[in-house]
Amino acid sequence: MTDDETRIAAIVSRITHIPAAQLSPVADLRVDFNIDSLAGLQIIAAVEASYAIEVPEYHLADYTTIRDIAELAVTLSKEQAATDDA
Amino acid sequence: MRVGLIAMSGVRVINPRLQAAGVTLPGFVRRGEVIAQLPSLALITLAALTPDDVDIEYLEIEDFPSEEIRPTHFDLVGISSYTARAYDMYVLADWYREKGVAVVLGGLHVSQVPEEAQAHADAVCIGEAETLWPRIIADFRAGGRAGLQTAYREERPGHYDLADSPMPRYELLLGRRHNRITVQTVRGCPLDCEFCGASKLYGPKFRRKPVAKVMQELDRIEQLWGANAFVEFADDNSFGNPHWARELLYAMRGVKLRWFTETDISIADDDELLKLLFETGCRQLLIGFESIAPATLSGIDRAGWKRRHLERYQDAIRRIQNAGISVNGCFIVGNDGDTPAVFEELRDFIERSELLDAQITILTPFPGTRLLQRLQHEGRLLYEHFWDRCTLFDVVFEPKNMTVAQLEEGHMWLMQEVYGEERLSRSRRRYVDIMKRLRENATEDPASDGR
Repeated sequence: MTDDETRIAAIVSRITHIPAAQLSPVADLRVDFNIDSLAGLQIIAAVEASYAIEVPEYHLADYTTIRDIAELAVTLSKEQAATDDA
Repeated sequence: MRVGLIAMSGVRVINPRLQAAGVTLPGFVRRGEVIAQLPSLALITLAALTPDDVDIEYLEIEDFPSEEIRPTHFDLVGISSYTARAYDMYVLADWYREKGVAVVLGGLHVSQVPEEAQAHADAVCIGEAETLWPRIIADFRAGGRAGLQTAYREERPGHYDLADSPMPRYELLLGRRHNRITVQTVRGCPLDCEFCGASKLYGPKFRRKPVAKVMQELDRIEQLWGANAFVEFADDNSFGNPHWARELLYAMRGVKLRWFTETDISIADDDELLKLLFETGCRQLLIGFESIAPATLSGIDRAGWKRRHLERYQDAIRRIQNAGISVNGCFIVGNDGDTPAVFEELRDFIERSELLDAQITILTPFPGTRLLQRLQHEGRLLYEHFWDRCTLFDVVFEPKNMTVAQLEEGHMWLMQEVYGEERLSRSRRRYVDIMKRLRENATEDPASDGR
């Protein structure tokens, strides 16, 4: 796992109580770990707080793996930091 | 001896337009999937009441979509069904009887219309089955099909003590597709709403399962599924008694499960309970608001409880959701007080109250209810036989202040408004913002883990 994937896995584990060691970066959180839609949003809320980002409204339910979420967090972090600088 | 316990799971909407629209309404599809995925808690409870030397199999009708692969190795099958699949249940029961397999039918629907069900069964089980099933098994063992009575009726309806209920055989669900596991903590409701069939079966008294028993069941679920389990309390109102609710929720602290239940808006008055709900993993409460029209609410329950609480709906929703619990508000359309304006009024209320989730159903006269009696008396039923249309989304009666077409079209429009992607996206953002706010507050509170 990359550092960001490890960071996201720790968030997922804290919210769902699934041991971080069981979480693979490419596993589908809904299908493989039965993470419901509300828990998914709770994870996004924690990621937004951790990375100081805001996920666009229409994409809040699009992300199904830890890798997806990590990539999103990194991308938005750069984009939104650039916007803030501007 | 081999016994099959068969659940007639899943419900299909009849209205073709709604069927078609369901494909494009993500919220509607999601709800249908949740209903289809619920296991039959009643049947796995009966499995626990079956002697150890009887081979038991738990099955769902979707397990054998065609007759060719239907298992026939049973000596007896017990079948339970939602009203909407009662006719399918009867076809299945007739098929098994032709094959020489004894058939016992039970559940809420059968208990309300036992004479109808008897035509398709060797025996019917009327009422809560815990006290009846051991007798049925014993009679069958002693005398085969001929040894069964045609009907087994609960002697004291509404009095079964949940302290006596066995641990359901949850392990029978392992390897199945269920993403929600059900636990029942209470039975009975004093409100006696006109449309409610469950209160006819369970009676008016809140009967509570001992907290220690509920905890054993939750522990068992955690043992079988780990933190992956999502629990649904299969109760009509889990927290009608706040003292018991407090006792249960304190006991649940430390449980690593996420869960959902049904209750009423009085929970919003109790900050301690709301905090406990969130801490113990409750993620959504389903609350039957039913209507926002005072006249309609006055006629729903005999004591007028819901009417008296109408003014507090919006504040209650805000308080519960701000505690991190999503509210799934249930509303019924087609009530006698509803005119074609009801759909827009409800849409506006749902928007104004910022409800995170909503369920809009059409008034449905289930068997055994006061509503069915009244509509029959008034000659307003559209069909002589309509159990398959008791889906909560199909119209089976003549509405009082609109036409059938207006009710169907208005309901359809409201579904599109409520379950469309635009509103879902806004609700998701609202929930994320609530969660972030709670996290910030939790960070300030060193005793909290921010869950």
